[in-house]
Amino acid sequence: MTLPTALWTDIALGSLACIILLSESLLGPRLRKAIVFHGAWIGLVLIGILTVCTAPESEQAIGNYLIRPWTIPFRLCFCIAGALSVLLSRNLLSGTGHTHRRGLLVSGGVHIFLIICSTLGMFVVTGAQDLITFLVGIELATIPLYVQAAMLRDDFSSEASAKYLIIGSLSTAFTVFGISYLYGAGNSVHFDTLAQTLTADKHFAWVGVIFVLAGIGFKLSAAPFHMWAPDIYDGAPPPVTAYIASSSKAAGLAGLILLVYGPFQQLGADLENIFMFLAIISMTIGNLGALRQKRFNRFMAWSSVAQIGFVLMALTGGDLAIPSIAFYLLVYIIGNFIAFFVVNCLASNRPETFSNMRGLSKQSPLLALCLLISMFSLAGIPPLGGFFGKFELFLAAAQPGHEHFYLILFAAINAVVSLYYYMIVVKDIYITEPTHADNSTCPAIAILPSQRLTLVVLVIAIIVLGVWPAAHSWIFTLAGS
Amino acid sequence: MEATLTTDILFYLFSAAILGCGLMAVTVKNLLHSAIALMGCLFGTAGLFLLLDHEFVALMQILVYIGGVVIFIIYAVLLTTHLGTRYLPASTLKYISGVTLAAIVLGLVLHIDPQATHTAVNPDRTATTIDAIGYRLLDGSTNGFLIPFEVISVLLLSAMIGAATIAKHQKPGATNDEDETGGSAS
Amino acid sequence: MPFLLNCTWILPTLIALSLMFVPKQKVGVIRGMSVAGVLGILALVVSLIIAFLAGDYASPVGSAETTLAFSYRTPWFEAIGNQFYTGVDGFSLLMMLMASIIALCGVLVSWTITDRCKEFFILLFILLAGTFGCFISFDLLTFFLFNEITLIPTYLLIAIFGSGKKEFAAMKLNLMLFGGSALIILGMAGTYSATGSFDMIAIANNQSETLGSIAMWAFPALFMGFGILGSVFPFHTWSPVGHASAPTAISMFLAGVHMKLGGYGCLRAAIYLMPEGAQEWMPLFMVLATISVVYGAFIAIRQRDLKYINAYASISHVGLVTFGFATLTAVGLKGGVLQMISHGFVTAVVFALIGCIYGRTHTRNIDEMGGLMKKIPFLSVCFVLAGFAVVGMPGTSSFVAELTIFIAGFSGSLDDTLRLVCGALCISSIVITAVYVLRTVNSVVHGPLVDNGHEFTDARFIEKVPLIILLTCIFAMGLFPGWIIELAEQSLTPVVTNLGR
Repeated sequence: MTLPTALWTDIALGSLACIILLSESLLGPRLRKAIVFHGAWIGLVLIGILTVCTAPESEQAIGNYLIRPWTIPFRLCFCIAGALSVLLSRNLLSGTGHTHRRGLLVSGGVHIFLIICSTLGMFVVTGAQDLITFLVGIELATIPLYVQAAMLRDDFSSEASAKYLIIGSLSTAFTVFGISYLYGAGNSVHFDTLAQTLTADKHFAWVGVIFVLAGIGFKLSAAPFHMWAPDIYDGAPPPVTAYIASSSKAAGLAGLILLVYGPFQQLGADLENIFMFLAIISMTIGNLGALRQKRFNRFMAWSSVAQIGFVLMALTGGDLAIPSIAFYLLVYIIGNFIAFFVVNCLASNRPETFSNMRGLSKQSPLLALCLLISMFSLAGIPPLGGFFGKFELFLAAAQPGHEHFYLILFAAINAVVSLYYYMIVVKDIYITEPTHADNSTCPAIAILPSQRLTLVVLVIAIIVLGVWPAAHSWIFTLAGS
Repeated sequence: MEATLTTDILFYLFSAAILGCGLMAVTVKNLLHSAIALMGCLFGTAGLFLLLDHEFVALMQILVYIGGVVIFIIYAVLLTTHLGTRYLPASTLKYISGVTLAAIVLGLVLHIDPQATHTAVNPDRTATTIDAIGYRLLDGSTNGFLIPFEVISVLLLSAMIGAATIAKHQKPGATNDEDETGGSAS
Repeated sequence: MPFLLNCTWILPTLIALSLMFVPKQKVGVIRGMSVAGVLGILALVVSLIIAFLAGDYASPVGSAETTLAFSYRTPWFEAIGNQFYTGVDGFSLLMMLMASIIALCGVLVSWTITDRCKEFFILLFILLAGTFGCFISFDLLTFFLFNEITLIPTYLLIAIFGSGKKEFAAMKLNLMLFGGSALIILGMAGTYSATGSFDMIAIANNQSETLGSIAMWAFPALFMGFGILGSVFPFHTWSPVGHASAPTAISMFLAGVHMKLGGYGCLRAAIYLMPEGAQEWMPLFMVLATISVVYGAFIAIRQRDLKYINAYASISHVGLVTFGFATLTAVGLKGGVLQMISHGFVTAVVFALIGCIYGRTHTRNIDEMGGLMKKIPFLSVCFVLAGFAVVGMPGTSSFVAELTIFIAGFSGSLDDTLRLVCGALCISSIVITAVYVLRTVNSVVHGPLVDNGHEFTDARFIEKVPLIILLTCIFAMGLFPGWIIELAEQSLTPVVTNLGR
């Protein structure tokens, strides 16, 4: 049996996890710190490059494991998010000389190992060709995150972990319950067979579909399954929050697309209505929630609920949906990480509330500019990547045969509302003067060199994505067919 | 198993046991007793699986749920002070809401097209023996589940390492990452 | 030549970028670069116009196809049918000329800004880049993209450098304009759904059934979306607060040029692309435009703050643009275009004067001013001349433009009662305009000198230059409008032909 070239990435990822784990347990302290941290992010970046290089032109299968061209951009997103998340952990690891307000991670090596394991789980989700593999992949992507959320020694971290564990188990229970019904209705767990046998007139199938969607909805934090997000974003360690906000969502979306264009393909119009419903309430609830936040991480949680609403809108559309979601995710992940990097620098010596961000433009023009660009990209302002990302989601819902113009109008108005709260952040960092008490108590902001470099690279990336169409057309060639 | 009078009688027996034990589990006042009743309920379900020729699922039911989950619950009940002897109050409101919820679920189950249940029976009875399951798990072809099987091992590894890391008692002032992974990884 | 055309937005972008690397203490360098930048843009635009007039780019009478000069087309985000498609016709060139003159004057007016001077000019140049990008884009998506680029600098410029309720004003202005963008997105999604393309000229020539039926709702979405930017009633409320709170140069540019992007978009992206929708919906917009004209003028009478007076006057005069468009005749469209250019100069000079006067009296309330003619004769004379231009005295550009629009209101068949009534109301607005202009001028310039303790002198040289430039433009256009009218007429031929199909 010859190994498809596209599978190398999965194997490399597994090997990377082993290497990290072994060097963590076998090497001496000095060497270990260098290899675990630098090895991990460089390894993830290399695997990302490998993913791009080995992108198949048609589906490549090994047994029951299928590597589809359209999943390649998603896999790239997972690698990028993994590497960035490792880089973001820098000031929470021991031996860097900088300490974070909330202390150091319980074990940096295990933290990094778990990031890679979780990334591997996401790869498995995109390769799944049956419900079992799908479920196992989702679990492998999620379970390490429960542990990671508890990696800080304060109560918030433990609380976040416990909540995440409970909500995560609940969502898994939903998914498993749904899968059992899908099996009952379709008489198989194999996606190809299910695509034939799951028809819209089977009540059984619908019970399964709804429960599976609910399970994935928890992972995506789409309303009405979003209640966990603010607490966990706020309590988990910063790199884990960023990872949950980016990669975990990307994996959930990849899984969702896999199901919608695989086993659920005969369910058609009714499924579109479900997505339309989810999109509308996600946008509305997310926006309303984000308007009232005082703490940055909670704000990001609510805004991510709204962002997921836009993505779900694209799923009501035609064949533009997959590439537009892939491109959007790439931009979204980068935009999100810029924000989390900035706030991580800021939060290393003060709580991450908006009132503590006032006057940032005077204290650190670089951080302020980065946060400004991140917020505008998330809001969808040109010439940043977020503009085309969001605009294509609108176009996907306007394709012939899938014209949801009311939804587009509703979403466009919601985009304006979301712009309001992103601008509030900009107003806080650029315009509102800090009160005297704020100013005297906040010490200087320390930025690690590696994080400064990463920020600059990310900001350039997000501008390039918005004006240079190469990545865009690459995604469309892979995912458009 | 062919449907005979014996199997019919057994089916009703098991079902009665499930229902009875289930009712007991939610109505008795002593938490320990209700855990034991839950155990009976799960045994009945295992019996039903056996009647359907699914030995593996029946075994798993006993192994995982009775051997694992319920025992875990009992441990928790016994280890937690007073929980084994103190009676939890159950208000009328809770009864009413519980009964309503049960009725809704029953209604939904009855509403679902009964015709659909027939297609759910797997015609290939032989595939459900433990041997067949084992072979299929390790089968690398499109019909097998080799990859999820392998992935589960990674999942278990990461879960174990993670659990050990968090559970490790942290002495104040101890260095952060000494030796906590080596032991559990081996 | 196509490259020179694109330089009109590349140049300001480059200047904005290079300004980022200038140390903020070196105010002189920053100002020098800014003036050099706007002069460069002006030179570019003038050379483009000369090349345009020398070449044979005018659309022949009766043609439906816009003949673009210096056109350049390259696939951009082509997976969704987007191209980078730029070019100009006479209409865009005229707008660009106006924009570059006002930009030059805006930079000169901002000479006194010292606090956060670097950020100010960076944002101003981003705003300029977006504006010029808009004027040369003939791809709907690119056009929209440049339009969006202009909005964010506007927010920051008002919120950081403004006065009064600046943060509220900036937020209100931005949210309402982005609300307009939401409608534009809807309209674009509609046209994309029908044609799969964003090429404006291709869409304009597309006569398919699908586009025709989608135009029935996509047209009002696009027209209103851009109409919000052109402050059409009832979505005009952002403009008085926004313009009143902005710093002088930004008020000039916002009211003079940026607001015109709305009218430009209404004509280019709505009327030109979907003439069927335009025929269907125009009565409604004609009524809204008339309300803007009359209502804006009436409100202006009640205002005491000079900036508010001019802001409401702007609503009234820009309403005339929409009215001209709404007649859907060759004369009306031409009048609308002329009014856009004329009003750009007029409102810019008025805002510049208000800035100068405020810098001396430290108040903008007309009740606390008086007799300025005695102390600052130069500024006062300019103020009177500008007042003439606002009223539309013969010899000023407003006269040419407004007269064309009023003629459009009464030309053609006399059965269209709605048009006649609206036209009559619009003409009556001149009287109301005269009321507030004469009262304001009288109270500020004449009468007894109100002494509020501030000593001041007449305009310095650097202040005189922009005022003289702008007033010259106003009178030049009023006295020699020939070539402007000709350019506008030629470039509107395709739109008019399309309307008749």
